[in-house]
Amino acid sequence: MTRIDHDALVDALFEGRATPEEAARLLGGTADDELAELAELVETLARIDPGVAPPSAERFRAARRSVIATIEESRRPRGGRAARWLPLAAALAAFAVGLAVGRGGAAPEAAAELTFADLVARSAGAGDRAAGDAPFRYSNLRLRDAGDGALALTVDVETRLDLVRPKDDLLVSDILASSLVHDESLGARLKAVRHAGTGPRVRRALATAAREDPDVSVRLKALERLIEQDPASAATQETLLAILETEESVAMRLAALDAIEDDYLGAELLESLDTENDEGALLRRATQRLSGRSL
Amino acid sequence: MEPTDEQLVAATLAGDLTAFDALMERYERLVFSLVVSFATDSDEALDLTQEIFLKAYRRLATFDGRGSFKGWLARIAIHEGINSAKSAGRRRARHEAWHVVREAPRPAAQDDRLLARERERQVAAALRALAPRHRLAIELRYLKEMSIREVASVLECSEGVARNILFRGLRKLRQQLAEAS
Repeated sequence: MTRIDHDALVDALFEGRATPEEAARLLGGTADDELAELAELVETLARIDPGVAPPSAERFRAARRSVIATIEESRRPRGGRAARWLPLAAALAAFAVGLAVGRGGAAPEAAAELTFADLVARSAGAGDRAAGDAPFRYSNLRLRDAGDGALALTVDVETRLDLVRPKDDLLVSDILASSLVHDESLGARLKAVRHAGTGPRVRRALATAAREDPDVSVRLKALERLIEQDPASAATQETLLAILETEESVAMRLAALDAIEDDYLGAELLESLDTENDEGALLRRATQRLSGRSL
Repeated sequence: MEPTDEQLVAATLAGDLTAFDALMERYERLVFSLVVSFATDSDEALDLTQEIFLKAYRRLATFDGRGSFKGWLARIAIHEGINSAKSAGRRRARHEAWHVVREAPRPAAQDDRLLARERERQVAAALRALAPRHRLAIELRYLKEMSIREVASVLECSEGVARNILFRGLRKLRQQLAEAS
């Protein structure tokens, strides 16, 4: 049976369309009475309803209007002098939030049409500062004459920000996720794991750190946080499988083995374990998991 | 021709709120039906539906188009529903009310209808006792009539794994019903 045949048959079984012969072929040793009961279950499930009638079309329409009004309110520029003179760091942080959500200025709540270059240019024009006292540090400058009295510049722009933001803030998550993977300091990476928030980007960083960090304490902490946050997702489960296959630390492999779900557990797991080098506890636990799993 | 979800997402990201309104209109009933089991009543479920759409709007730039928008939205709805139920100290209390049948039971005799209803009540109770992942997969597939692809998207797994989870869930459901009887 090809993979396509198999998937089509499973769909047919779940939808009650499979003939007894097809279903028997699919389910192998499954008895006819079990098959009949599964088919009856599917039929019964299709009749169950939460028992709450949905709101009327008018109520849904009012709800949509309320959502749109909230969005419009959040997009409306704040007026007044104070708002016009928001600190540069706040504007930069808003811009960085836009970058953090992946679409820069196109994101619904990013800093509207303001670009990073606009922010830098605005800071350059603000006040009468001494040379070298700019809020940004410029380096790695390349420039060429662009004609019409203009210069084309390519430059690295760097600044230091002091921010106080909520722990679950998108920018905070982005900075911690980046530090977790790229920071050279072991202490910084451990702190990043400890304070890492939630969200796909953080989880990807945790998965990368759990697999690749040179220090086992970071790998272990990252793995624990990942399992704590998102134990059942395919990405986490695949990270656990990768750890079981490649990780040197037995503590890491035990942690991965304990968190792997039955759906991902297979006989090939035992084969992936190095029977000569793996400690007894790991092999014992793997064998127990496999023999004790319920189908 | 109706615009696709992806076209509406792109228009929303470009600033067109009517496109987001169209997306909400397309999926408001689905979102409501997904969260109603986490709320105490219809009003609360509608409030939760609004919050979910606001959250989806704020996260829209992170929708990468690799999976379906429907699956992405359903995932947000379920996470928010679970969070809401946890914070309120209620866990799917509304499922206690499962009893209504979409279609009239086929058996003509009243006894048969009562038996059919009793069977549905038993199945609903057994479903509540399943592991969350199995229960969610079954609910999405058979109660919300999502495709395998959409179930896989919500569960964040491959279609093969989603089928596996569904099959295991059905078997566990059958086991529990057998044990209960």
